[in-house]
Amino acid sequence: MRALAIHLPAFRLERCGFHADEVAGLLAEHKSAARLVALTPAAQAEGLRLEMTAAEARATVPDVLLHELDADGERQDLHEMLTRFTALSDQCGLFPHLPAPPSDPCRPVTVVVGAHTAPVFGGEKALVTEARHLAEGLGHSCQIVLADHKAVAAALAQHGDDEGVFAPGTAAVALSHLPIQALRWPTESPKRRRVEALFAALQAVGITRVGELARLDVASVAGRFGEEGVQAHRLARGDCPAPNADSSEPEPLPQASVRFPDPVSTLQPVHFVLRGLLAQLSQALAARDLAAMRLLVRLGLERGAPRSVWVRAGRPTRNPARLESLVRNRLEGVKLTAPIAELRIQVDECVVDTGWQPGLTDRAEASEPLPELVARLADALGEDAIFRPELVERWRPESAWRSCSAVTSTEKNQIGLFRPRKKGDVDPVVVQERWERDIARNRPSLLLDPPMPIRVSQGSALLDDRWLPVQPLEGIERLQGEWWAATAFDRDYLRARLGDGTAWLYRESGQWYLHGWFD
Amino acid sequence: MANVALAELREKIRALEGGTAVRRHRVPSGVAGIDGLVQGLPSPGIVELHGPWGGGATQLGLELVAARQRQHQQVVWVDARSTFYPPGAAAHGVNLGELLVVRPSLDRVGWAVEQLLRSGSFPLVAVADPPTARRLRTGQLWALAAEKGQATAVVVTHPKFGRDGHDRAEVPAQVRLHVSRTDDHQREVVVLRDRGAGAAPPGTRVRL
Repeated sequence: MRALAIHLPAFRLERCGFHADEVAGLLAEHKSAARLVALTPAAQAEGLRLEMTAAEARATVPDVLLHELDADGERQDLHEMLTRFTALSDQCGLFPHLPAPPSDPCRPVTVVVGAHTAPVFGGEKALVTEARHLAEGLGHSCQIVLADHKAVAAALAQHGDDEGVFAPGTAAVALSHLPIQALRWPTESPKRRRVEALFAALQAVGITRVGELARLDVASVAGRFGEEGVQAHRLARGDCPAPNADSSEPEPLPQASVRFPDPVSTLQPVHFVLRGLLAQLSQALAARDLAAMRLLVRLGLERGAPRSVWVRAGRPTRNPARLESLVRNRLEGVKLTAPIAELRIQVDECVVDTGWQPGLTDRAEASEPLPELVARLADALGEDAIFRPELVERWRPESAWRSCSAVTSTEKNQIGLFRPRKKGDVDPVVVQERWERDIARNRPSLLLDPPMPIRVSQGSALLDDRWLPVQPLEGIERLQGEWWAATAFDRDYLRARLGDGTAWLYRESGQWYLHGWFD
Repeated sequence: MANVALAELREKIRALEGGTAVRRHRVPSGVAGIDGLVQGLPSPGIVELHGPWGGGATQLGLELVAARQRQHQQVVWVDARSTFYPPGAAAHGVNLGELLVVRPSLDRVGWAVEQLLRSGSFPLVAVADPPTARRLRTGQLWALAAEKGQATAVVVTHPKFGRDGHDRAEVPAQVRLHVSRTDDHQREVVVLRDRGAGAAPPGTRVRL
């Protein structure tokens, strides 16, 4: 939808009565001193910089006009201004900026307004004129652009030299000469880091202008820069729904459904229509260059609540045959309480399709890729039932490890079992070597959790209704900890021959426990 | 030349008919004592390691897993009784970072093992203390699944004990070994059954 962007480059200073030509700035308390948080262009030209203290500013420019920042007043003025702009359109709001302010000491404000009301004002040009009157009436200088989409309009207003009305379909040309940073869209953590990494990566490969990005093939952009790259590419071509995730509704994920004329009691009719539905989904995914990670299959029953079943794909795919195989497999184990009246399948999780290739250690004999096998088992057994163990440095034996999910997620987009190490991860080899050297010397291969209380008397232990001789082999090893919590423990461990095997016993508060076997 | 072509044609016809003969062979286990005792592990096939609690059967299973990992093969450990202890496994050389552990509920153990064997993704599937295989009629299914996936199942079993009690799994193992500790705390492995060419006679033993 076409939109109007009103960019107010010096809103914070102008609301205090300063003009862009005046050497002026705003002060706020920061790091135990009153420091500059906003500056006019004239003040910057005189050599003043953000974060300078008031004393440093006055020493640099004795005549500088300094005003204390009134955060509440600023918020009220912003609200008041937005209220005035609602006279232009019912769709009116701020186009947020990236939170990091240092690049622009004036902290600009951009208001975006839906342009569907243009006919009321006599056309788009008249709407622009009306917006300018409003802004200037409030004492603000502004740059106004009306273009195909609010993200495009905002980028042109913030970074372009031209203003006014850009005809439909001309956004890409208008954007092409802008610096690549003009496409940077506002977002919250943790996406912010990914967006910043994207633009750093684009600049690292020599893409400095929007037009250079727009000329690239979408598949290569998706393969190299992922979902954020595709968003930036669409914006660069001027044909995208805005990546402005903070203020726009996300596009719903594809879904397809069929209603049976007569409710069906067996899965055969379901299988019959399944392929068609999944082909529809596949086409919808292909149109958006997406691949499914998880599907939600909803069976509307003739009586009672509908039955929902999630199907993980294991690895991103939009291949209808593969999806059909997964869904059929999953539906086999579903017990129904009533005939099926409706079948609805929707994409529950998806990622940008970047293709997939088998792992180096995958076997030729494998009838299905390992990620799909893991996903299928997780669907059937529960996600917690499949994991990759990881050692943890804890003295309490039963807490000395944790399970890491082996199931594919959109975040990792790969099986957790063989995920690549990320920066900051502790090298698992180091952890394991430390354990082997320091702690895991005499740990059992089997652990009973919870430990089994046993009776010990005169060198024998009662186990499985039999008194077995106990012969200490190694110990005592005292393990204690968590004294600050209710879970405090203080145990004396003993490695002992018990019957025909070697056991791990401990005594705590006078009671003996069998905790594991050196089996 | 003509003989080779005929052999290939026969193989293709067998494959089309679904009657391809299973090629069984032994692969080196990577544990010297076992390779000397039974000339490696059957592949496809099932190996049962049986012994008293604390006798060292699990430890031998972990060593077989670690040996496969050293050959950069993917391995899975099916922990039917939730007793697998990663610090202990790490101490026996298992690379936890590349080990998949599956803990199904007792009634799904048979199915899970069958899926893992059949998938062909894992040349070695270790199963610790499965419920009675005879009751679940899973033994034969495992054997067929191992053939399909060209995999070896190493099944660790123990005698009935306390709340974790269960009968010994009746799995159709080609190789069944008894693992126990001697009075001087060494592990002793005794062949109970070994089927195949060059099989070790029952009672053959080795100390590890």
